[in-house]
Amino acid sequence: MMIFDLPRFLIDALMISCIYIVLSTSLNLEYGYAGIPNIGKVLFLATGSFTVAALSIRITAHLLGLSYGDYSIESRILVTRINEALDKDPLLSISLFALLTAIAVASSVAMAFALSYPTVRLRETYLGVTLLVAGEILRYIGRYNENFIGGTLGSPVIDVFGWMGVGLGRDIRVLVVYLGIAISCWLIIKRMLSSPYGRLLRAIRDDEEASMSLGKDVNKIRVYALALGSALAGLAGAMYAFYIGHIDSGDFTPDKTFLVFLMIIIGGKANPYGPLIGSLFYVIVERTIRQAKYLFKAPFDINYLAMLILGLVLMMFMLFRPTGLLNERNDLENLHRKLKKA
Amino acid sequence: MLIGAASYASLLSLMALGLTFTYITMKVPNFAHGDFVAIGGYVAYTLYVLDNKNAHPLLSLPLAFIITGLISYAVYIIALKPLSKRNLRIADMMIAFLALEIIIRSLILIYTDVMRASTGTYFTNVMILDKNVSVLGYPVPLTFISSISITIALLASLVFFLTKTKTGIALRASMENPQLASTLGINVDKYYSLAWFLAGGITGLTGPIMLSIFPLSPGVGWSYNVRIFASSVLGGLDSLSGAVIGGLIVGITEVIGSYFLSKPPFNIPSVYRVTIPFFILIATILLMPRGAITTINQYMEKRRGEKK
Repeated sequence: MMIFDLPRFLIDALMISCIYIVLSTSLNLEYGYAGIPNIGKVLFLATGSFTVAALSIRITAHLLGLSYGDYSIESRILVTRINEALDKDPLLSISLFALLTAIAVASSVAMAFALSYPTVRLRETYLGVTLLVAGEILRYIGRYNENFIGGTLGSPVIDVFGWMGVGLGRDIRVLVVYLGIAISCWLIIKRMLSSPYGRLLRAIRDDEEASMSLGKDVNKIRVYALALGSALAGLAGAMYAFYIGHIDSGDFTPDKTFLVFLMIIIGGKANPYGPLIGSLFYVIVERTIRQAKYLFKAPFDINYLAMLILGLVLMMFMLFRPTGLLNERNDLENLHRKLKKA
Repeated sequence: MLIGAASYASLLSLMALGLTFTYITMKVPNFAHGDFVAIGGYVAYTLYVLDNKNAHPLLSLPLAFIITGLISYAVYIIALKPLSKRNLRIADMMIAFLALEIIIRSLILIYTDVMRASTGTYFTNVMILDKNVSVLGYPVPLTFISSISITIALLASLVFFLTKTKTGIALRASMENPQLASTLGINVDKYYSLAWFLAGGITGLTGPIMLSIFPLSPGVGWSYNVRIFASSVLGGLDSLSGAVIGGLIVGITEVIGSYFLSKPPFNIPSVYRVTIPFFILIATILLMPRGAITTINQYMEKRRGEKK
């Protein structure tokens, strides 16, 4: 089976890129600039997605006055009825989208504060291990608790873009919304990081003692950077949930964390354009592999081979080009460039 | 249940011991450590399948030790030694370990797919059922005897090796103070690779025994990692004896805790047992971040000082 529908294929690739751009921008802030090894990135993505998945049908059913018994069984029937109602009600759809996204972002930030509080004062290994393990625990709970997001069956998510029409026109309109969110997030973070705040983060990354001696509360800055990054990750999680329309806890393995790190290390750490290049690179590679699956015959799943190759690529980058494709530019270099132009 | 707890806890302490070996050499936890258990398990399962389901997993213990040890050694030589020469920050090293975990797990996944296609038997979610042996008239599971005896034998020989033989003392010296050791003419690199071989081997040994306790899949590495990290952090991350004690505590608490939590008044299903090590991890980090063993030692020393 090759590509049937080229426009649909491109739109899907761009939508996924938008989500990854938000996610990798947040990781670039935490890891590239502030030097926090957030190897539990998937935890915050999952918090966003799970929040939307757990609440979307419940809240809407409550608002529309629909009653239900067992959530994990009846959610599939409920979601079709809710979507029919939402298709005719753009205002309710938009406000639900905004409300659920806000809750997702807030719970992700709360998670970041709760987990970084005990660990931020210790060696970075502890923070990393705690976040990583917490991500796995959240996945277990999502998988085994049927009342949360439907257990192994997963939970459907309401379609808040139903009023935008059907077919290709709808897809393009949704894409415009997502591109808008992704690009504005990227621009805001880029602006923030080229302001004194970006310099502050890089200072605590490169020399903790020196920034402490200048009166900076390093732990507090780290916690806030993590919270900001987690807010973006929660947003990405909500975008993912609304786009895919169905959340299954099995998708949120530590592999997702690895992929986001792959993006910013290939693109270039602490360079605002790094996440853009990295996300696009990954999406192109991933879609190519999906197509290649139909060309090869192998006694194993091609996805495993793909993960193996991506792992080796990251290892090669760490060994031979740890800065990534784009170098980090410091302020002196920027100044030099400006003076040269003038 | 106590028997199950004891065998599980002793295996966990071996895994934590392996992790501590590698942690001391690299200062970064090895995320691929849980996958070493899977490798050991698959060595035993492959032999079991190839021998028409006759070979007992315990017979493959030496092979599991050697193969996992060699893989761990190769990982150190090929990837980690050049990486540690680059003076990367700890955060960067963690990412490299994440990549390493992906590489090793993908290899296991490909291996199991290929083996399944060529032998026609299932290679994921497999278990080898345990036999009971009668000891003094009581039926005792073989896993219990093997895990306890292997743990005791291994710990005894490790203690002997690390304190009485020249190689062992040099190994300890290069792990505890690499600069000083190298000024005394010890080839630290050589001993680090030995430490990795031992770490892989010890962890791989637990795989075949685990095969009759938990079902084995290529992706089990992460569920072991949660427990191993909790044990190792409880033991203080860089103390070998701490890791063993941490593993015992976490293992016993997990089995007994999940038993009591699954009864009324709690009625929490036992699938959530993996959260118990997580809460131990968080509690350790909050209360005694340097590990239980170090904290207790400090307390004892303080008391001793007061008495004098």
